[in-house]
Amino acid sequence: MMKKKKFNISLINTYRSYIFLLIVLIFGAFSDNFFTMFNIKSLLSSTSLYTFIGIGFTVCMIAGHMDLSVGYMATAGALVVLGMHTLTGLPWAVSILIAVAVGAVVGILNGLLVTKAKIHSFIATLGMQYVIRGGMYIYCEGKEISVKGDYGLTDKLSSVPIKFLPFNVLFIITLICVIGFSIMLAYTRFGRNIYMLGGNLETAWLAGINSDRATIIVFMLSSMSCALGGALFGIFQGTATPTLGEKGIAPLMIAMTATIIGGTDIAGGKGKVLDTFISITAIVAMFSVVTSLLGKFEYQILLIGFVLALCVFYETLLKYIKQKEIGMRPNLIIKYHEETGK
Amino acid sequence: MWFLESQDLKIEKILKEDTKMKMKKVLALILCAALTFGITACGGSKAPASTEEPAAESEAPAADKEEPAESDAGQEAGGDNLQASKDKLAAAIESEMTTDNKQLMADPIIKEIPEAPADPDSLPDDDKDKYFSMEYLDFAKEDQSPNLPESPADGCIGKKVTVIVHGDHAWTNAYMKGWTQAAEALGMEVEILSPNWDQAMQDQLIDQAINSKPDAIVVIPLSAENATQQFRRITEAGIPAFGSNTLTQSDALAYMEAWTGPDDWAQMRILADTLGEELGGKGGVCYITHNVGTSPYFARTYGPITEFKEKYPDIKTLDIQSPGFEAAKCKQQVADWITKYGDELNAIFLADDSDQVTGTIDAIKEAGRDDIVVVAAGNSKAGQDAVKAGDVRIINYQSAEGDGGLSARTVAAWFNGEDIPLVGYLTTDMITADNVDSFYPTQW
Amino acid sequence: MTKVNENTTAAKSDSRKTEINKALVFFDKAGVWILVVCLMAIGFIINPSDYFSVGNIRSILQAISLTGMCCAGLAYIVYSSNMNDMSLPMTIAISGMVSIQLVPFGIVVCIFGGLLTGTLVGIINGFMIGKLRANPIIWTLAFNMVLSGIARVAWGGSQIYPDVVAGGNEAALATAETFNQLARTYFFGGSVSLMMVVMVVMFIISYFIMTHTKFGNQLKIVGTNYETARLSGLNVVRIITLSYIICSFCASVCGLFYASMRKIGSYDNGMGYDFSCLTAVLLGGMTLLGGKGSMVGVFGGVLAVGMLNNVMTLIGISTFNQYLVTGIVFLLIVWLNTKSARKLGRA
Repeated sequence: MMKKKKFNISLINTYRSYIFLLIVLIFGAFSDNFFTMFNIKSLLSSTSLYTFIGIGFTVCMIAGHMDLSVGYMATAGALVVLGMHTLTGLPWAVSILIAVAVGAVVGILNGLLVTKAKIHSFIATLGMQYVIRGGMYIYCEGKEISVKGDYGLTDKLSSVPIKFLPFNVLFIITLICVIGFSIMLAYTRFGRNIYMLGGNLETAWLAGINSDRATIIVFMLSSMSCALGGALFGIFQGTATPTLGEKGIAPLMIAMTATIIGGTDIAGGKGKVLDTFISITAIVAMFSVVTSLLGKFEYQILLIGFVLALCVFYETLLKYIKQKEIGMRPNLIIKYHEETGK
Repeated sequence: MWFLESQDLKIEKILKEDTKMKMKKVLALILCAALTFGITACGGSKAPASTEEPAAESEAPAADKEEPAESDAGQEAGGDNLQASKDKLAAAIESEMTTDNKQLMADPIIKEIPEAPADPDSLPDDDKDKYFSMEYLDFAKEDQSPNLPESPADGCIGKKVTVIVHGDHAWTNAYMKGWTQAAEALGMEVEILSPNWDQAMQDQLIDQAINSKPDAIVVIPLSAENATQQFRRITEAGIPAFGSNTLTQSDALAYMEAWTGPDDWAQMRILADTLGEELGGKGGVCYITHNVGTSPYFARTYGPITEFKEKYPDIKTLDIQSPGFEAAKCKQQVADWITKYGDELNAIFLADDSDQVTGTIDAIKEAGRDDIVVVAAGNSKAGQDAVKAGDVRIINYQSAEGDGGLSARTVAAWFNGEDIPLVGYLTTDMITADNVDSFYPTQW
Repeated sequence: MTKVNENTTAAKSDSRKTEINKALVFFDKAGVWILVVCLMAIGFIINPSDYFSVGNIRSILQAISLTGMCCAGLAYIVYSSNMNDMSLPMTIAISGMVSIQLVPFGIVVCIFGGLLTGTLVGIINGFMIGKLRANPIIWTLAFNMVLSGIARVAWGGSQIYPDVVAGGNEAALATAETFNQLARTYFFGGSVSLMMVVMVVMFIISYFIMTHTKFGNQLKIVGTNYETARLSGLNVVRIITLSYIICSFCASVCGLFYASMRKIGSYDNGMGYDFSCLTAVLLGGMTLLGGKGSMVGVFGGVLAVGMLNNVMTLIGISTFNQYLVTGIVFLLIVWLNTKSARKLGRA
């Protein structure tokens, strides 16, 4: 009996992002036209930008770092890709590559600041935010950049390749990236090393991981993912503006919230990209459901705040209970466990 | 063993606390459940309302569908609705008033468009023609998309309209109030959605609006460049689209039934003319801009600059800065300018008349420079109060409620099958200390 | 041979050490004040006649006073190694909105109501982080969102004006006027404003609390090593809760002046203050690891940010480039701070 109860609670915590999504979907049933092909397709494709940023943020957080520059990096990616295509006249493929390369450079800079200059990642990326923002404004002179009527690739990204499935090309690319990162984290040596870095940096170093190099690569991957996401978003929209997400909820905040709801540990060493993706889907779906049920934006931010606060509160409580065990003698802990069934 | 006993006691304590914790857990779960139920309740209370709406709405299309079947009776019913709608529109234009006692749905102004310049991009920054494509929505009605829906011409009463604004702001609230008031007077149903300044969210809302198939969609686009794509999507879904407030690229008009909104450029030119006269045709002007890259940024910065260049070439542009909308930052900016330029600085041109005005006036007063002339765009309460107190010389009247009203009027006229202008501008006025009293109480 | 080699390497390493020490010790001591002096020199070169005028100095101090008030409180959070208080913006906004809403009940109620609201936020934060040990960043982020939602729902996303809230009541209108004048009160013929005085007083009090009280010393221990502090019998819960309460109190003071300066209460008051205040505090030599830095340094950091903006405008750098310059200067100073602390064996 006891065992079963414990099982349930841990299950809720592990799969909380799925449960969150489920609750949102149940409410979706109350609103008209939620479960239509068109709506689902539009919802899924609008998760794309947040997912790419979320991937970057999650990977960094697993390695025990915070990358605050992700939001501006995505904006910069969108600006660079459209600038390269429209202003410089390069083909799409090359422009996307350049945007991702810009991301890589910023990521390496972040990594160097964190590993070589030994600045806390929170501070280094905070400073990098200003630098990216300034560079971005200088590049586009404060103007929006658009594709100027060249909607070829835009239409291709929003087309649906498989009938009866509400997936457009943009979402399929996003999904491939999510699966790719999940496999990388779970099944490759480098992926496991990232968990080790976040779990305990010193142990990782003693175990023979080149921790500096791995950290730099992590930051690089994070920024590249964001730049790619921004670039695809820019093409999908047909426009890039330097002020994306300066008012309202910034993309960074959504990515951060989703990462935490997805169960990634802020101290590092724990987390899944897939869970982040699921929570982003849930958040985006929640926005849509709330808008159609309650109609006003005010409730969106209130509810997302409540969900996040609940998650944090719950996690904190669990930790607090665990803390109570610390300081007891091992033989007694066994006794305590026998008694409580924990 | 004493320590074991104490440990046992500890364990008991912990066990007790553990049950307490469990209680807390249960409490948290109950809270969670309460929250979800609360939402359900809210949703539930809204849901019937929203089911009623389609019911009410479905009557009108039903009348539509009957038309071809029993042609005479149907047409008569449609005709009745049309006549009633036309009467209602004519009456509402006369009767409806804004908070500040102006006509809510005043006649739109139609602007003449001069010849387009040959190569605007090569011109210098302060040349008027460089901004031609932004200033004039130069688009011929014949070039519009063939997919554009035709007016049903069966009256606006009972039609359902979705309005997608750009974000939460006091201005937006006034705009929404204007729209709702006008829609009520015209017998239309209106649903207003706000993406809170988020581009991705606005796209999603447009999809959502298309999905729920209203009779018309009105959008205040967040970005001028992206608007084309947004209106294209709505038009391709077979729903009539209307633009409002924010200037778009002119090719977006291909996918719009009509665009209405303030004529920022013309207003700024009048404002600049008045300021030029005030300064006696010479002096130094500093500019605080709107959000960088948006259409008001160009209109409210380069509108006056190009106007001065043409009419008052002796007026110099000293500096252009974008400290944003924070009073403290604008204050520092202006104080720095006063230090830097001293007596050269004669006037300050502001893109916003609430926080920017508050900060600027504070800085000027602190420095004791009463000779600096301040003009601002927009008419909020803060701006109007400042004009009344004599701190700001001129602001321009740009009715937020009237903006919504004009948009509603255009949509209604389209449903009534009337001929509507492709681009209709809002009426405007200059507010000075002489006439400021007639503009109270303010809209926001 | 080998001996000689060893000797030379030893000597080399020794000489290297002392060489580094001198510059870094200087930097470690002076910190951000070097930047302040540099900026002063640049400002003087650009505009020798007006730079040290009363007007310019007053405008710099006036511009930093709002950020300064917040930083005086935020420093406690950073010092106790809790990284950042992300709920600062909404603390500022809500305390301003509540106090404006209370304008009809007189100026005393209105000010105390605002301060109380802010302090309440601090108490909740303190309970969650001090007592339950929630992650400071995430909890304050979540709480900020909740507060923002509450403020938006409660006031329907609109702005509130003191004189509109007061309605037609004469006494209430007078209160509204007093409230608006809070940020516009000057002493000594307009050269010193109430905001500056409040900021400086807050910094001085904070300095004394940090250096001359039991609480300050305990805070240092908690910031340096939480477990050590707990095991050595300090009441860590009380200390951390108190530091959050102080932080939120300072933020609510800032919120009052912010609302008074804008003459508007709105949910977007104080937007962006979470990171801009942290920037100033970090520039001032505090580190996210906690227990390092001083109030003098934080004041220097706040001053440096204000002077940097001032000098950049005087030079004529556009807003676009200002972001870039700010970012690079920030990274450089933080890097030097970290490096000097590390080489001197303090990190």
